Amino acid sequence: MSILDRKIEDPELKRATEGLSADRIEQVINSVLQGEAGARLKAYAETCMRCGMCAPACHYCVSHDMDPSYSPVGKVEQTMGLILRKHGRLTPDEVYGMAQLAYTECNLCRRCVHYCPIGIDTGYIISTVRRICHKLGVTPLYIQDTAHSHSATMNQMWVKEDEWVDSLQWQEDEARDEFPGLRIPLDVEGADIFYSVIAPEPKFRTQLIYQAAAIMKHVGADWTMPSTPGWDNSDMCMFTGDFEMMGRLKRSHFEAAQKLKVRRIVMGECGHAFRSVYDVGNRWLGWKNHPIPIVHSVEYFWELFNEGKIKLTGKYEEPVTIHDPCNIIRGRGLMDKLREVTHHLCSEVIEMSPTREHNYCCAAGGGVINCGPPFKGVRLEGNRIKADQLRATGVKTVVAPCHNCHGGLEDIIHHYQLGIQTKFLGDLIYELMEKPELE
Amino acid sequence: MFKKILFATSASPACDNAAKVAFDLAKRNNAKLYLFHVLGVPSRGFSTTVRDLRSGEDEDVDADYRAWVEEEVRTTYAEQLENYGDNVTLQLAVGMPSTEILRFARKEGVDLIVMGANTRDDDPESARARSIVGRTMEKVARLAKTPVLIVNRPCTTCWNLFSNIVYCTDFSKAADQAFRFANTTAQKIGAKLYIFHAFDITSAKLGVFPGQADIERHIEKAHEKIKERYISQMGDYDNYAVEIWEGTPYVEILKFAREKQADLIIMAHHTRDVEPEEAAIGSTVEQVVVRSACPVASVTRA
Repeated sequence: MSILDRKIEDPELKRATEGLSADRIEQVINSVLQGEAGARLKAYAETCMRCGMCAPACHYCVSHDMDPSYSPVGKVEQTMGLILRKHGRLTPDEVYGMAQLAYTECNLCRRCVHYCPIGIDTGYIISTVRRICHKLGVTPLYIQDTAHSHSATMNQMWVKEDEWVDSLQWQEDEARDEFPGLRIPLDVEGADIFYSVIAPEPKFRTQLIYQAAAIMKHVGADWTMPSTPGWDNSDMCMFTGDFEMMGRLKRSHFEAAQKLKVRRIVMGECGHAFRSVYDVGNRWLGWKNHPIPIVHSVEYFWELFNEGKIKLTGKYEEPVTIHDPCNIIRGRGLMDKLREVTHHLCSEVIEMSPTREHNYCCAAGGGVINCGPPFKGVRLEGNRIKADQLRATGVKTVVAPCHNCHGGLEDIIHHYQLGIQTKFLGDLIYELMEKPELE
Repeated sequence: MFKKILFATSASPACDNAAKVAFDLAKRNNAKLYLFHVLGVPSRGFSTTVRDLRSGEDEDVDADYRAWVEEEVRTTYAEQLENYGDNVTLQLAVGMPSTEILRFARKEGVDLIVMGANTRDDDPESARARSIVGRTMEKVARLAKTPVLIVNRPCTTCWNLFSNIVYCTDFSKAADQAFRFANTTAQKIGAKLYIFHAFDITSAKLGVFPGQADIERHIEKAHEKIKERYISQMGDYDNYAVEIWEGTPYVEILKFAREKQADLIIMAHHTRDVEPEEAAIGSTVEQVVVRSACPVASVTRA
């Protein structure tokens, strides 16, 4: 089976590929290969011996009874392999297939890197394919809308500037009843912590901002949030291949923090945003690491527990399992910290199998969930293995410190009728921490 | 007594009884009425689709869909809009219903929220909507800074003709807030105000259930508290009565309301109530709301 046998209708992919000529395709592909790809891609292309060891690594492949067209090497063959064999002279139909595959059948989760005997990063190759697709103007409709929002507003969800500030003030108002004196300090120069979130929080999940503020108050943190663009750390442009825009977003995020002269950035429980800040966006901007220290919530909570700053009233009694988000586990190695924090909070943790850096992906990451309803089935059928894995733990609660993972897991739980609830670490801390005695 | 009323509706039959009260109240108070409808619940990951509350299908939120929903809402309330259309604003929003209702109420500074309880809608199509809206009522009632009037059954009298108001207290801070609303309302429309407290004998303290002596002591104390906290605030108004019963609070409240032929029950969410999502049978307010024959006003933080 090849990608063209399972083509899915997407209005934008259709419109964009109809206007492509063979010359234009060839020219764009070669400009990316020569101008941006270089030695890394060449090394991968020349050293991959097509051994297929990566096949059992991919949740899509495992969930489709080991269909080789879903294996990492099979997916590279149908995209970059095709490009290299044909020297960039692809038909518009082949570009459609390539785009569909790169955007919706790979989560860039990098599990396969751990299975490749020579460590080829398939995620990088697929990202490069996406980069080509972006330059050809061939991106799925829904994720492109999100990228447009980034370009127009510097945030992911078309949140207007006054809406942002208003949401914070509103949550401050709300929280002051439960925590007298609580503040969500805006634009405080020289604060210890610059707290950044992703746009769905003010837009739809304001409770998460409330909880974060409550935790900051509880531990007596010196923190701030910016009132200006740069507050949103998310980055769908990284996933569409719009690296120029990704660079602008990351720069505005870093600069918002630098302008306030804060000591470091703490990011909310989001995986892809973290990847864009410590790995992809910063490098595009020319920084090997990042211009200002950055930690993910998992690391921050770990510090707080180790310093004894979080006082709990008790532990979460029901057994839980831990989902390992790719960008903070395989990407950043936070598996031990995630476990230590979870064990601080829960009395019984039942690990999935496999676990840690070998845990399966949620199938929502890498921008796949953002490609929208047309491709929902791809995610659900492509991740039967995650449902099996969750079911086997027998628990009713899964801890996942990543927004995308919540989206993906909830869809899987619903589709396979698992009856499991998803929790952020912040949810648990807020629920269990000591709160002021109110009358 | 109200200038801006927010009627939060799913535009389904479950809200019909609430609609009558909302339009009636707005008309009598010459108030601005916001007809507020949340289109659907956004799916994660992409901002442009929602799950339609009625059909359960994923829909694109574009101009067409908005226009269609707006038309639906207008058709649903065609009769009321004809009688009282000048001062009504139809407002659509996308999001989690409770969040958006609270956000809008705060933004516009409304002074009353009216909504249905919506746990008895027998329309099988809206199974999904039901659980969401039920939780919506619960969340809004707990967090709103204005009184929330919940109308579950047909309300036979109108606000200004109310003659018996039952105010229930558990002596929490929230209940004290609710009293201020109860007091003003009763005095304004000249209704009889019943100040009612039900001593909870079902929960054990340190494993000991209260005995007769405890109950009597508690009742005596409660009388004093009511005098000190509430009667003292009522001025010359003497159209009131105080009663204290013991039992399971929500059962006693309902029994009492029926006996006194109450047209309105006013109460607050107990601040120490367990999280609603986790409670097996829900809080006292919810229990009262789903069973009460008359509207229930929840005033927790006003």
